[in-house]
Amino acid sequence: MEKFEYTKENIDDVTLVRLNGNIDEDCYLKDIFVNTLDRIAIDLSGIARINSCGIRTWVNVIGQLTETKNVIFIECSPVVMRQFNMIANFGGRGVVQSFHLPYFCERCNKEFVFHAETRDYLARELPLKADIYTCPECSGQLEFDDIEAKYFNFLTFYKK
Amino acid sequence: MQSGPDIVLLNFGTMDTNALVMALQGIGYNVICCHNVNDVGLLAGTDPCRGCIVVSDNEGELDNVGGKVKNLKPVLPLFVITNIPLVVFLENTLIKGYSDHIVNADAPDLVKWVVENVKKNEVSDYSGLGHYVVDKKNIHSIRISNSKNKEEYIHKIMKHIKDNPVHGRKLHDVEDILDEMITNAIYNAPVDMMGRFLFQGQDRKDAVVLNDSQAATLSCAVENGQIFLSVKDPFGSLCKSKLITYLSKCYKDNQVYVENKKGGAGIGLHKIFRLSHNFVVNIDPGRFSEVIACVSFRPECQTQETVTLDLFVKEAGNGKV
Repeated sequence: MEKFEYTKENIDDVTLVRLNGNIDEDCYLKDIFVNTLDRIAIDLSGIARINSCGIRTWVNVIGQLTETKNVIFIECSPVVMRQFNMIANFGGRGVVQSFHLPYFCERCNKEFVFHAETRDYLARELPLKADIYTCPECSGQLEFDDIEAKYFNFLTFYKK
Repeated sequence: MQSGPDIVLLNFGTMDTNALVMALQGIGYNVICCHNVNDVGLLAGTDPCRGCIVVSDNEGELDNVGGKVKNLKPVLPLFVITNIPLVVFLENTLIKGYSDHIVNADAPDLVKWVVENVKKNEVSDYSGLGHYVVDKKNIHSIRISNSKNKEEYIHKIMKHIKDNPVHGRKLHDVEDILDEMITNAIYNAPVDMMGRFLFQGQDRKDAVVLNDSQAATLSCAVENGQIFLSVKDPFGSLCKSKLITYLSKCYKDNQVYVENKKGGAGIGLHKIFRLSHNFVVNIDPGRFSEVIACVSFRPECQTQETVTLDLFVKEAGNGKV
């Protein structure tokens, strides 16, 4: 089990909040966003699992937060992206600015993630295809470890 | 819910099944007869049937139909009536793995025996992973009763799954499904004698410990590139109409809106549904609810999203599923 932890720091006019671990029934989210600036960047690269209890808490907290603050989500892990694609109000009024693409190397039996910018993918033509990457260890071609049509589904809301 | 035929009778060969068909129809079963192996594939695309009977004196045809019969998803055990010697049948036919009853075609009172057994099985327990996997030795089960031990339960089940070539996203999906299954079984399923939910509105941060008679069973099996996960509680409190409304919504919309309210099985069920290739719900009101999720890690399933849903609910009074 990955224990939930967070860090918070102000950089210029933005509060950067980094979340790590599992978002579930044991995680308190509400207090994290007290005393933050009007612009908040939430780094979700360290989120390992989100269960239905965590989704419910998250949606309530983020829904209220994005009513009054300008929120962007950065470095969203594949686990987080699956929630954005499954839960319509997962981000409230916030916007995904960058996210991770999951890959797998059959030969090395290892998982990898690569950074992607939402704006880059928004500029592309449909149907969206994940970039091709090679394994940093064996140089073989990596396999995208999700269903592309499903993984990039959140972008259709930004295109409207 | 079930609207397919009651019984599919597959007759491959030259044996006369008129008496058997008439006897089954006589006790109210809707029987569809099929004489061509290819038609089994067509039937598999329809609603699940309640029972399946294969009749054949042709070894080759039995071999052909073996894998296809499973796709008919019969609730009741599969009967095979044949005059092929048992030793030949067991050695040479693919269907043996799925057969629950192998009956000699020359047995005395054959029709009576089959009819009685079909009726007997109608009221028996139709739940359990044993109906979905060929080798029951692959099934591992643990009892779950304490919400604070959730990670330990997940870890125990994952240990069996990790012995297989499952990796990456599929492993995360399985963990997610197990998490939702455990939470639903411990917080959402338990009801009191009056049918009132005991812990549904409770804050999930508060621990719940169920006693032995309230504990649920969490099972897993890995077979033929598929992971089968099941949770079965002893309450049968899942409401059929709510479930149908909710799951129809899941089918229709890719996404759900999460409302600002306490607990409930909704999001958890939606997650299990979205992460599974096959999703089965068995409900015997007041006796048990079972949710089965099948996650495929076959290469052909890595790039496509297919979900099938089977819902079996036992009706009060006549015991029919």
